[in-house]
Amino acid sequence: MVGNPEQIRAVAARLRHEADQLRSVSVRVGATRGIAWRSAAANAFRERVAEAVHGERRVAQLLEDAAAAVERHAAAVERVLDELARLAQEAAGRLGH
Amino acid sequence: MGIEVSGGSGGTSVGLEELAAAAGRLAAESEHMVAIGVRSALCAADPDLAVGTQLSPATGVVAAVALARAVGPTGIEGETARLCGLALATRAAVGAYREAEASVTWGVERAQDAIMAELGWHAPEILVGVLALQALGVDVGPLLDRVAYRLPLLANLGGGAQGLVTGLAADPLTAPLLLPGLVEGVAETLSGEQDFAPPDGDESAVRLVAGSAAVLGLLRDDGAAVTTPETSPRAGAAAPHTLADLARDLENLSDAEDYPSRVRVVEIPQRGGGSAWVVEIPGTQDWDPRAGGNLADVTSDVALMASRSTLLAAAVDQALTRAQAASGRPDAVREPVLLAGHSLGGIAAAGMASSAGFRARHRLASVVTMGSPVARMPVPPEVSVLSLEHRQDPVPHLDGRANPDRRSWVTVTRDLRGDPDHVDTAGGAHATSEYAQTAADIDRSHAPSIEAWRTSNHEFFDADPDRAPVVRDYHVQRAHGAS
Repeated sequence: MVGNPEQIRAVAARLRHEADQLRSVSVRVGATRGIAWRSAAANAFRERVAEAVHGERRVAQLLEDAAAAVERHAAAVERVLDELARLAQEAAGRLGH
Repeated sequence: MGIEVSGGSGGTSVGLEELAAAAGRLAAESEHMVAIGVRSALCAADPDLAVGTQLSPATGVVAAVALARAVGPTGIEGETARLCGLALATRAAVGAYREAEASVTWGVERAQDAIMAELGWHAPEILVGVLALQALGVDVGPLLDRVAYRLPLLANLGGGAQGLVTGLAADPLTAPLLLPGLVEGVAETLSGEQDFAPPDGDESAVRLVAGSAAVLGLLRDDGAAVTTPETSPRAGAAAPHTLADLARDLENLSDAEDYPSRVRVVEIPQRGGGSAWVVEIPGTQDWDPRAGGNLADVTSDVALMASRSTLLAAAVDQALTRAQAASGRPDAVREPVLLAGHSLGGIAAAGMASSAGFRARHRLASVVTMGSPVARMPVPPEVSVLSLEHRQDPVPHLDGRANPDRRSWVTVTRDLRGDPDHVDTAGGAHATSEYAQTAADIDRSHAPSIEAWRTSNHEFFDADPDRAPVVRDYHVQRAHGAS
């Protein structure tokens, strides 16, 4: 069935997994700041890497936010489907009488 | 004014290597981000989400907007582009830096050659001018000493020896002087009488000048090296515990008046058994261009600058071999060696480190030079080099090139301005006593390159407290008429 709330929750789980993956990337990117070289060029590089790490963490949070929105959407869809099922059951009951 | 450290593990070359490696890691991570972006975009296009939006439009639109923000240009797409751009820009910057350095080096060398060619062309007039100044009562020696102190980088022109030869050859008065050297150089090349190949044309030019002088009976480094052990080392000689100790020991050895033409070999017992060996070589003691018995002379200087094998190097090799034999342990020949020298001694040390023959006979681990022009010496990267230089000392600038910037070569430069103790002449800036102060500054330094050098050279300064080091001095001489 398309529009399945469980499938939509699976999408949210996949987004959370990607957010985790992105946080791991940001840790590895951040590690490149550990170069021992002391120079203006090295300092500029460290600053740019710090900005990139900050950006990756921000996007990881955006993915978490999107996952939460998708979960809320799954819950809403589930409620609609439950309501539709209940209405269908009621209609079937009336027809049966 | 303090010391400035270049090269070594904290140097530019190693820094650029690190930066290039970091750029590679960023490029790999940006590929991971591309994959995360693609998988996240597939989530946004999921058909269940699309149908769900028809069932619950309000939450569906909110989810779609949140996904677009996370996946699009304001999200992972933008950050991936940023990381990829940073990786590419870093790689490009490293490449540009290396190309610019090579280009500047090329330009400086051409300028040195051009200036020295002019100098060679006008050599007769310059000589007449100097003689005229002396005739007028001007003491040219001290004057030049002070000029060299104020403008030590003038010595960089020494790196334009090729240009000097071109200029001398172009002047009808001086050209005939070079012909004998040219003939000798050709003969030497044909006979293959070389210990190591010169890396560029300047060594060939110095060799040509030296060859011409040799025909006139000057700067002839021929005969045989004779090495005689002293019955005891000179009073005050001691095994070094610090770099400053080593510099002071070199000062003790560099007494041209009362203790000329000696080299020192110090056996440093190690805690785990065996020993490390420190060999000390003094600076120039005899400036007479007619080569005599003292091997620490200007003849050895010129021969070493021409990348020729020298009797001084042969004598140092003999002294080390005899000291290791005197230890009574056959394994001594396989123990680590540090060669240290001031001025000429440093050139000799770097020259020996450049010799495959010497490295095959001894386990050379390290070289320490003080006030020596050694930038052009092809010392292999597996040998550690620490070069001490003073900004006002013209001698280390004589080769006209900066020392290699690499992990295993650390150069420490001290600016003597503001130091109340030193004499403000080029000679004062070149003195071993001044280098002992620089060595003490290095002992106090925690610069990454210095720390790494200290760690890799600790065996030469850290003797087993239960076994006394042994200091052996050798009288080294040039014996003419022997071979």
